[in-house]
Amino acid sequence: MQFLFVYQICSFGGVETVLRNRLVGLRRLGHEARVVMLEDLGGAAAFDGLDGVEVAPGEARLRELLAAPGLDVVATIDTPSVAPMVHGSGFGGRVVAEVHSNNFANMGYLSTLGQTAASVVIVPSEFEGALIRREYAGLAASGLPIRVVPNPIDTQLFRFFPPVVPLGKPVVGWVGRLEDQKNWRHFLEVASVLARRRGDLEFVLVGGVAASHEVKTEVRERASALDLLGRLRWIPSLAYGRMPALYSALAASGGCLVPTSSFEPFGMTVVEAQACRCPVVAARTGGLAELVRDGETGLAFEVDDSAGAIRQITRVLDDSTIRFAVVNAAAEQIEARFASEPAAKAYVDAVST
Amino acid sequence: MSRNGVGIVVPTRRLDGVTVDESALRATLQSLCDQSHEDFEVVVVRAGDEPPVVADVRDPRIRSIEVDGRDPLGMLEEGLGRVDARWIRFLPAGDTLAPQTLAAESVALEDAPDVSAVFVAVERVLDDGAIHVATAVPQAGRFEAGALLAELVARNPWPLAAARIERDTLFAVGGLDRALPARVDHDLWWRLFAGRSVLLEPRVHARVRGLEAPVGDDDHVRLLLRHLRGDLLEFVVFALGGGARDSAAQGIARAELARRLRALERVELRPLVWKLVRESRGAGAYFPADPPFEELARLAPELARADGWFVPATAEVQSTPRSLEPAGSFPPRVLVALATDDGGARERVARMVSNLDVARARALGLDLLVLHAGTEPPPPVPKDIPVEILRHVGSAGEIEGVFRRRSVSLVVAESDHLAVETAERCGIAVRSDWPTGPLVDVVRALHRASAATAANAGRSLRAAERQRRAGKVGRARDAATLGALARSLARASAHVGRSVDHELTDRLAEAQRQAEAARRAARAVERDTRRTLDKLRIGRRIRETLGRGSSPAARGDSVVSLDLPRAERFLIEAASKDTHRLWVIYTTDAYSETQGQRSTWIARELLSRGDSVVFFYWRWELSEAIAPSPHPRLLSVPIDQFFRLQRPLMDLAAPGLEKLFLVEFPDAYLYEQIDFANAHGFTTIYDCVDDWEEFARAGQAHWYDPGVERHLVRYADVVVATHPVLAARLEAMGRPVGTIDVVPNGVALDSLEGAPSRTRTGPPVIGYFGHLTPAWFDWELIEETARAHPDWKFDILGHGAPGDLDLPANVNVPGPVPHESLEARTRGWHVGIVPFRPGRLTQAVDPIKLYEYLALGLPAVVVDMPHLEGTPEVEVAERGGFARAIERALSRPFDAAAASAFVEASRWSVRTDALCAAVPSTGRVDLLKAL
Repeated sequence: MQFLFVYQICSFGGVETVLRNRLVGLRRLGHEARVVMLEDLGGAAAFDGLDGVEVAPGEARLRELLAAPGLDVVATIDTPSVAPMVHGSGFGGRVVAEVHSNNFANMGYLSTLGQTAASVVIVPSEFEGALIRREYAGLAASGLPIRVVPNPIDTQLFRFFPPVVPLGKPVVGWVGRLEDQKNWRHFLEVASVLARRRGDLEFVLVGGVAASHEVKTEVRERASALDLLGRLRWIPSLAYGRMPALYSALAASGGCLVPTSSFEPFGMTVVEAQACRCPVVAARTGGLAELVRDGETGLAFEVDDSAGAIRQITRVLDDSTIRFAVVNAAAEQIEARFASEPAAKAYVDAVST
Repeated sequence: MSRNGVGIVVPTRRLDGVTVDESALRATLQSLCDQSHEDFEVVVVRAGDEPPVVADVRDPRIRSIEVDGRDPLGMLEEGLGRVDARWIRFLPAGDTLAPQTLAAESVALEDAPDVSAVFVAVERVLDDGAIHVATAVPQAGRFEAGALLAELVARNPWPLAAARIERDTLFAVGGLDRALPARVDHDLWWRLFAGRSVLLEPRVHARVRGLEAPVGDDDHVRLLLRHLRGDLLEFVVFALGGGARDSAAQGIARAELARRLRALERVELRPLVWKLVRESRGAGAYFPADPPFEELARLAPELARADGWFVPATAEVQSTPRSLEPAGSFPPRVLVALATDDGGARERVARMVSNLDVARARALGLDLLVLHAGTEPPPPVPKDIPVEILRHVGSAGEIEGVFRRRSVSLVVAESDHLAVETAERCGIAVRSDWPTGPLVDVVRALHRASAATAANAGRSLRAAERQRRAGKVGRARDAATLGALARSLARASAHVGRSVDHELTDRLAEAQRQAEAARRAARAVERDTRRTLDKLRIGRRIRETLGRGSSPAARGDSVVSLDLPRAERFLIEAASKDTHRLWVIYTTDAYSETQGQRSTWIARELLSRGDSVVFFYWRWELSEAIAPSPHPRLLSVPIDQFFRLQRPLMDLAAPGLEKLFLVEFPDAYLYEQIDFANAHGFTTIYDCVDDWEEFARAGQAHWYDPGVERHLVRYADVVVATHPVLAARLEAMGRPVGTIDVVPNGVALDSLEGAPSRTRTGPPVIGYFGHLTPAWFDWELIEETARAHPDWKFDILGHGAPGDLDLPANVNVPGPVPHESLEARTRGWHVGIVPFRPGRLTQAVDPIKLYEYLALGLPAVVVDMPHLEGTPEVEVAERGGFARAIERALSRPFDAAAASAFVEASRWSVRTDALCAAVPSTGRVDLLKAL
């Protein structure tokens, strides 16, 4: 089959990563796939080493791609603006609407999706599916099938790498954009309490290079106010290809990853960390709750529940039985569902039926 | 079973996904077998792979079915489809009913044949076997549609096992919804209560496992957002601040709002409210417009109890998204900002500090801070006032930083201009009409009220603790006690509101009379303030550009920007040449071989060795031209342009390329950069040249944050200091002992070598060159010494001297002299001096000029620098012995050989060798180096 994926922007976000891995997975299964991103926000590096990726190619080129012979599937990812062009291109294959966004302000188009050429809606989690089904009555009424296809991960890239230098203290990490819904402030609060209770921990926060000056200043000033500056490392950006080393280092140090999001449709960093055998202690919300089943594939706490988070982090740091159990179960989950090939197969199945 | 009987569905898996053990299931079934009312049937629903544990329960009314999968909701639905009765009950395995339950329900329903459901009270069994108190319900009896909805806002008192529901009604209201599986009961009750009449049976009939679902978790928020779409949602959103834009909500009278808030205060809503604020997107503050202060004070305790965050905002602030940020708790922390420089205002600051009754405020936990913004040092602090309450801030950015760190919730500014400026910057409420006296009284009123709350809470907590220790109650009872405590706090909070209200009524009248007078005074101050703020804005623009990368041109500023293509070419060339060492030097002053700064001399040495250097320096105005780069392997870049070169620097890599990041001052901005560099192949070096904390204390180095310096000290790969005193200070900040190399300052001989054998003729000339700021240059000592020794001449060169010096005629202050002219200019000198004010700042200095004096063949006299004892031809004096030390230096022969040997060993080439030697050949053991 031939696939064309269209996404609004090319930044360095989760969707770009998903597209990269999906391309890899589909090609391994013998399919052809291309990606077009309409606006360049500096994320092309996510596709280094892959052909068939075009950033800001212009409308004419996009029309040309839509009219290419043999194209079977056009998938738009949170990009309704392309629908008229698809409609006008004479494309006769399947049109897939993928929903990864959680920004309701930009999702109103879902209410009228049934009136477009879209024949199936793909979401990354049961949570996202339930969310859009509930919020957009028009979508539910349209009868369009909503199917869950897990976001894929490149398990050849994301695997455990023994660190090149010996590590000292266990490191508790957080990875993501410094946005409110990622709830990074809660991570700082939890880290602050842990730092006061235990001298054997360090903390690392990865992300924020694109945050506003105000937010960056707030990170420092909150860390200062919480007396964390001496224990909290901050890496505003880390190349995608080096993230496995980060997760592996967290794992090897005896630490863990702690996503604190208050709202998360999927949780790509969790999958990446689990693939690198890094235990995850996550807020019980949205897609995170599906990836981190408490006591099984990780440990969970309620959103904003500092006491619960600290309790669970302490368990995974100090109880090797639990630690190994959740790491192993999570790794099995990754291989079975999220590796590029099973995820690509699930995608093909979802758009084919 | 009759058609009017009860069909009971017993899933073996509970809503939280846990499968109960056999004994629990038996207990459930036994409780049904024990019912005195016999008209029912039971369907046990179990997963196909579970053993048929009920095979031996010999009651014909109980049967078992299997389902595929283990989804608890699927089990409920499957069971529901297998019973055929007017009434439905769900009883998850592990829950039990008292023997009279079904009978009591039937009796109640006989009296109200048109209701759709009956709910019994429940008690909860916790994991440790403790029994939680019965579910609190408002009262027993019949409730019409909508009447019970308020009970569902904050929590769900009724688990599935609490209800008997009419089957047709269950389907009519939408049945079990899978969208919120963990709250399927809560969600169902909401739909049921919205449109149907129900009965509440007050007696405890059901015993269920586990606690209620937590308040404010993600599903709770989703549930509220799903259902609170009528007046309740409007009310909640209005209470949270979004109501101003909601025309329906505007119709709610303020009194009604207060009543509803009081209804909510008995529940713990803090996390819920905060999430709703975020979810509602744009709700800014509790109040839609600038509220009268007395109303704020009256409602604040209630609001604070409900949430803990509040921003009493003006209409302008409310439209600012930043006002969403949590801003402290009640009672508010009060911050008084006063921006001015004139003498009268300084007196008012001092008076305000005195009047704030600091000791009492501290005792009550109220955080007071007075910021004096301006270019002059702060006014003197009265003796009984802690020094830390008064801070001098030199820029608007510093004010913002203080606000964010301290979670300030209320700001009182003396001038409107400052108020608006502050509000815009910090997204915080500012009232400008509070003169000093009434403000103090308001603060005290709040103290008294909060003291009552604190005392009440303290008593309750102590009582709870005593009970817990006595072991008389289990966890369940503790929870009940905490509930009582919450109600007690609520009552106390209401009392706070009333107290404050009464206090304020009296005070406000006086305040209004004085306000006009204060405004008149403020207007005069404002003129000066505006001038000050104009200066501050310049600094702000630099900071904004530094962080954001916004287009200065778009803002109409005249900005001299980095030529990025040229800079990138520079980096590529640096990475591709043979030597492969690229240094990033992050320092205060631009590269200048005529200024004589350590960073310049080190850079010059590195360049002479073939290395490449990117030299970041501070500039005060964005419109300043970028400093020249007088060497092909040198690139000068203002720090405000760092962000543009950040990624190219971090991503730069080439085989064999060695990247080094040398930090010469612990700028707060480096917190963002140093680990970025650590993780991107740089060897990071903190070269500590001064006691920056002391500089900050002396009113300099406003940017200084001790935490950032600690971070640098801890996480830089290499730490060096200019002398052992500084090294010891850094060790005290957490660097392991013995890991700090001492690399003193040095001397550049090529422009200084003078005539060590110079003959000393004529009257003694005592000379100095360098910065002349009174912050550390001891002008009084020079004046005293010059008056006591009229036969000595003082030649004081440099910039920064105060304009109002009144010096005797034998002191010459001609201004700065170029570095290359120093040798000629100092030929007539007999002694070089370093007369810095005694203190930690001076004791941490390793003055470059000292090396230069010796290179020029001059003996030197330094004040309060004991670490320089033993340096050849240097007299180390205390302040009182300054003149005697000069006399000694004048009277004894100059040991040129010793001075020359010392100077030779202090060349910058030697220092640079030492610096490079401190860089380890192998990587530090560190997480970021493993990436």
